[in-house]
Amino acid sequence: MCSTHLALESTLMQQVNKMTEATTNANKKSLSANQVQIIVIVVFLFGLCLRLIGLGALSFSVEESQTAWQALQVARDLPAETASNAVYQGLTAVTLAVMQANTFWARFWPALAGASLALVPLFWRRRMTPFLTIGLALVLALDPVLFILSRQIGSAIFVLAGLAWALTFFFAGKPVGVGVATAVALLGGSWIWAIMFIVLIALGLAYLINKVALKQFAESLLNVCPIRRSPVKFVLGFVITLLALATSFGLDPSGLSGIAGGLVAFTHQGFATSLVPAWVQLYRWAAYSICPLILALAAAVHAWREYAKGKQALSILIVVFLIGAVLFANLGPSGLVFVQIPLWILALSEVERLVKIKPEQPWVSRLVFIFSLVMCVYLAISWKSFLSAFPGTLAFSQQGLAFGLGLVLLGLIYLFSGLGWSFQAAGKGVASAITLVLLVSTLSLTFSSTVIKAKNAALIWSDTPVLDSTDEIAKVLHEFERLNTFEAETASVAILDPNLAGYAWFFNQFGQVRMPLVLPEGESPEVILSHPDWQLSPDQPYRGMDFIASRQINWATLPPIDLVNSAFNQTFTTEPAMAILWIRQDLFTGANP
Amino acid sequence: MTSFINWYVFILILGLINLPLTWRLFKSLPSRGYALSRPLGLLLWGYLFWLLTSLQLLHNDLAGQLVALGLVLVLNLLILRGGRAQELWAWIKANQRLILTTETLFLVAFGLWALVRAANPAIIGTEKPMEMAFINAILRSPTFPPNDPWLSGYAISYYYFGYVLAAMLIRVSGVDAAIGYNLMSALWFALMALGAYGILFDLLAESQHRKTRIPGWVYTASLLAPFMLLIVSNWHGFLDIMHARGLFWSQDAAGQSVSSFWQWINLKELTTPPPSYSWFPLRIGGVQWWGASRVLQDFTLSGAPLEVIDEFPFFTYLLSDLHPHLLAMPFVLLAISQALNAIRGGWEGETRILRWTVPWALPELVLAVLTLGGLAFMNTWDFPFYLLLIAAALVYRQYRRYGWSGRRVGEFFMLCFGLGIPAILLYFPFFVSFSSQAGGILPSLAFFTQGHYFWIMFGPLLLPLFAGLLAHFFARPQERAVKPAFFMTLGLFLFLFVFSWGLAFVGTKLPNLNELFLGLQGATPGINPLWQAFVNRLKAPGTWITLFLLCFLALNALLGKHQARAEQPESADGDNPTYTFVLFMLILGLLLTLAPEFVYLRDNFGTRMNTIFKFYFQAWILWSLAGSYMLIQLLRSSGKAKLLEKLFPGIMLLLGVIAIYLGLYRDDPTFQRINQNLGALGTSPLDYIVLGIFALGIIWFILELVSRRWKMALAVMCICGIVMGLVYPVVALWNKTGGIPSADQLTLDGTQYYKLVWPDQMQAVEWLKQAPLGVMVEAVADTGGSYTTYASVSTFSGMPTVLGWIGHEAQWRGGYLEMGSRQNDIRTLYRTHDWQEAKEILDKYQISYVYVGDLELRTYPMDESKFQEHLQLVFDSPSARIYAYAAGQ
Repeated sequence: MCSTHLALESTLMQQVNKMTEATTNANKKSLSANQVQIIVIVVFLFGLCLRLIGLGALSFSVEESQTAWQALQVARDLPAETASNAVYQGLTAVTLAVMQANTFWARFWPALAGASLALVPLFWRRRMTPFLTIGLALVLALDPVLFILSRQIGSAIFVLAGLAWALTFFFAGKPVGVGVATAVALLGGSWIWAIMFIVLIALGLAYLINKVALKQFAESLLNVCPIRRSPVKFVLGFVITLLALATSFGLDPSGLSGIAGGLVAFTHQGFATSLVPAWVQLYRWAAYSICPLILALAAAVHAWREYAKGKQALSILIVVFLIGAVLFANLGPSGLVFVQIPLWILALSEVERLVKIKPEQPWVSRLVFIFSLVMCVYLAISWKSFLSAFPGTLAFSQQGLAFGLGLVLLGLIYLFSGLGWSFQAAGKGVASAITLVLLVSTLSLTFSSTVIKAKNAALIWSDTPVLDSTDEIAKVLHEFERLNTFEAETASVAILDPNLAGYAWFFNQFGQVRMPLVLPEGESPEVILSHPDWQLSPDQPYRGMDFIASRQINWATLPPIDLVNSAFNQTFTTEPAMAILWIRQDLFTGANP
Repeated sequence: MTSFINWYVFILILGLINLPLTWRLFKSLPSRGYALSRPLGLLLWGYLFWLLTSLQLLHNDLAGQLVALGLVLVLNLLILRGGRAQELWAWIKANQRLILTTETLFLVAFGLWALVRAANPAIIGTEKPMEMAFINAILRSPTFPPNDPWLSGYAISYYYFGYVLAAMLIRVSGVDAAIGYNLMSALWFALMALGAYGILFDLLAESQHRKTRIPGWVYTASLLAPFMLLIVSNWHGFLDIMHARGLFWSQDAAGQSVSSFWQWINLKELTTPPPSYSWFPLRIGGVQWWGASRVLQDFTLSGAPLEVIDEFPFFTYLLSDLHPHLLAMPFVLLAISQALNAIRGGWEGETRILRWTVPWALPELVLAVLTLGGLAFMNTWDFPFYLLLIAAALVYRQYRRYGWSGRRVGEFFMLCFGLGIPAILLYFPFFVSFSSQAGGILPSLAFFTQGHYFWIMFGPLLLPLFAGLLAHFFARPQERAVKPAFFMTLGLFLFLFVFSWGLAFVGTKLPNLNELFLGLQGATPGINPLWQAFVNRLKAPGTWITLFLLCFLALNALLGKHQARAEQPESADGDNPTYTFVLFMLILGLLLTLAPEFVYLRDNFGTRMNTIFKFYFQAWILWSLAGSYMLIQLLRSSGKAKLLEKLFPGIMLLLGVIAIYLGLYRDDPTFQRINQNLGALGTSPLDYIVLGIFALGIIWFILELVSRRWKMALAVMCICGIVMGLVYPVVALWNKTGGIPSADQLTLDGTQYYKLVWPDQMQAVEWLKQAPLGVMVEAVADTGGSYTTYASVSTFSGMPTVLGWIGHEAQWRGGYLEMGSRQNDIRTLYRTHDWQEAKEILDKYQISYVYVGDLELRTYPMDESKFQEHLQLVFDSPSARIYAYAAGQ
């Protein structure tokens, strides 16, 4: 192998070999394969359950709502536009056709795809230490970025899951699986094309830098490629999945167009200037990935210093994906999911390194750990206050001083312990405490986003406006239904403003939802949704109700610190957009709401 | 510029994607069909997209198109399996010169014609709005068949495949449709150049088959084909400048300008003296470049002139109506290449179809069926011609393998059915709903092409064809078959004559047909029309004589080769069927020009107008390719000239110019007489230069004859004919584009004119483009509106209107049945004061948008108040408004 070998293969093979060796040694005194398997499955189930909590009550963004509405159209055998995320439309349309049309089922498949990532390490367990297998499963199940984006509709989670599983099946020698997973990734939306684009450019550069190494890498991949052995199985898996998903399992034969829907979205949006500044991509990612980011940074420094090719390749991969996420920011924030897996692998390798340090005086290490933990908790609290007070206030100076003192104290703990006993023990203690606090703080974002009322996560991770007041509308409509003034199944809704088309999903229980440009002559639907400027003539028997249709963060004017702050504080300054809900006069009774 | 680059890059990528398939299918051609990978890719991509969309398996959108493109890619990747990728790569490396030449030609042709279009981009006049309307309607239709833009609620009733391809390119490149329209013209021009180059390259390279390397001159000489096909024009332009310069005009006693020459030649607009003498033809209140497409005139038996269309490629591209005959052209060349591939043995293989085994490979058969069906869907007239060519090529191949027998005739007919029926079935979703305008065959009793018209039309091509055939006749006495050729030619003419006159005889005897038939021919009561028509033909037999001679010489060459082969089966030359293929093209062109002398297809017009148009156009394509080949071979076989002979033409030119210049300025009575005979010629220095050039031609010709290089003399004659055919492109291009515009005047946007003249209307169009698809209504001209700016809002927005150009709708649908009372209803809608009446009409046609613009206000005494009161104004500008209406359920 050439010295400057771009070693993605090392990532996958050499790392694996080392780990296999480590596993063999470690397994003697640690968990058995079956135990690892059970733990990973439990983690997966835990991740899945967590994702399903409050799934039906999450706020929809306009984009999500439109995507879900298209799936419902297919489920109802009505004309639908070409899906840009054909996997989602295919699976959800069938689900909505079989089950009830509601938000839970509309969000179910992305959540399942996201949760399935936790199972991926299970297939690599023979090539990884139990620590890494379980750790990876755990972080893939609970990482806040992956968690939040897997509860979103239209995110890149299907692409990530498809690629992760395709790679897994590839090395497991399962051509059918590779075919199925590749089809899922291909139909998963615009991000697959963005990733292919950026990876191709990266490979092109790598080819220019070291042609021989790249050829060797390609050859080594070809040698283990299961498709070469049984191409028919791969093609069958690929084509059947492609056709089944794109046509929503036959519900929408013309949905075959959706095969290229992601590519169209990529070409239309990928190269357009993003309304969301590039720094927002980085900040929201950093705010939600503070723990793996710091650990991975440390791991990368070690890797480049110690010339660990596998980890070097991983760090390059992270940079490539990050560039992709920033470059194609207009495709939305979900491109950041691709960074998370290599990031966590690198981060966990650093944690594992930390765990493996055996200080001569363990009790010193433990003591330092406790002191440091206290300091870190203190720092975390003062950091939160520091952020809240930012910038330029008296409180800010006070908090800043408090935070600074905390940092000094932490430094002193390390210094005195090191001078007094052992720097190795002190380092392990301090690092372990910091890691633990960062991990808790990062994972806390996952748990906080499951709070039903929290619209914060939805806002941060949506570049399109997030629909608001849906609960209020639902309540009003439900009240009318309760009073038997109309039945949703037979009632009709007219949405008169194309900008409010995203609201169609919320009338999914209604028999007929139409979006005409003007109110049809002689028709009086039960409900009308219109722009605030639109007024009915006095002779038309409707009562109107103003409400906030959607909210959006003004990314262009948002200070970065506010973004970081809001990730923890659950507060955000948003710009509302109003609309009017018109309800037909005759539906009002004496006890109307 | 960005739009141009988008198109160029996309078509380049498409060509590359489809290269493996082309390379695999055209395996017997030296170029391996490299020049055809683009049209073939377009055809395949378009077919898959159209079919899958028609079967409701794809949406009519960009994603659907990309899925279809993905299928083309997969097909090509499959072809590369089994080591073919390395083979293809090796071929590419070995043929870099061909690739470079082809790509350069493509870029130059595409760029050149884009520049021409940018100088006159307006989508206005003739049938451009119709084609724009089709393209926009296809872009807006959710599925296929696409909406008729000018008859809401109906699908397009026209062969629309070419417009699907245009819409696909526009959509995938992301350019505006009005820009795409002009790029389409430029792209097709370039594809034609490429196709013609490829065919001549294959013909010339094959004729060098014994050599391992293709000689360098083939790469350059092959450029003659695109030049002959696309640039060289008929001689109308040459006559036009002669006319403009006052040649052959003289003053009579009354001081009036008279000219027996111009009266005899009887070309429209050239029978009257020019307004002023100039080398540049002008038309006051007319269009100079138009006349070349109306060289021919038919006359009824009573002598009334009838318009006949005789377009040729340069005119077609200059006009740039994206008409079916233009859109089908690259695929015509594709079909010709397939026939060439077939005759070269590229189809050999075996295919089992049910119980039968046919001696041709399945992929080639499928490709032929796809191409022929595509031609039928794009320009139905082309379908039978190229079916015959391919079938003839295949039968010839069989003849070469197994010799001649009656079985070959059977095979020919079997092939016609075997390829023709699947070709139609492949495009079944279209043909099932298509109603053709053609209403049978009528005998062309009164209508025939007078000889001088025929020569003015085809002169630049007839000269090389005759020259090539004569050279063959005299140079290869062993390959003469005078008697059979003569009798076959005579038999063909007699057969057509008997058929035509027999049909006419029946027509005059059947009471139902008599009136119609004689009415169309303009028969004079009391005079036998059959006899009168026959006498008329004998009075102007030029075309018959020309075609008889051409047919005789071509058959002589063809049958002569057969005889030679029979006598010397192992003759080395017998293995090369290139010349035979050229003769096939020549004969097919000949049949296409001969047939309308006796019969024509009946359509709405009842005359030969469309038959001549479509048949002569294909004849031009075939003869330009055959003529190019013959001219090159003539030049190649004429031997090398000595140095003096090379210098002589230049010296003579100089001398000629000086002599004429001096002569005409002398007061010598002889020269004065010449001067008088030449009309105004001689009053401008440019006159002498022009005359000098012609003197060169004549002197060169004489020189070659004196030098006994008679083949070269023939070639010189051909070159002179071609030079005469180049006058039109220069003059017409200048006229059409108004000279060379400055860079800031260049634009490919076909709506720029509209934006300047009717800015509000175009803003309304933009609004409608973004609005949900629905039915709109706009004014309809009382006279039908064809060729005007009526229906332009639907044309440019793609939104179907209740009624557009009435005359065209009637042509497409063969009548007015579907239109019903729409014209009156629209008038009522705009004029009525009664809202209920208007509402009924809005509901009847499910109208969503009512457009009120200048044209509506001028066409109808408008009562707009009812719209203002009852409809919602969704677009408002000073001179254009759109009202939205939602029909009640």
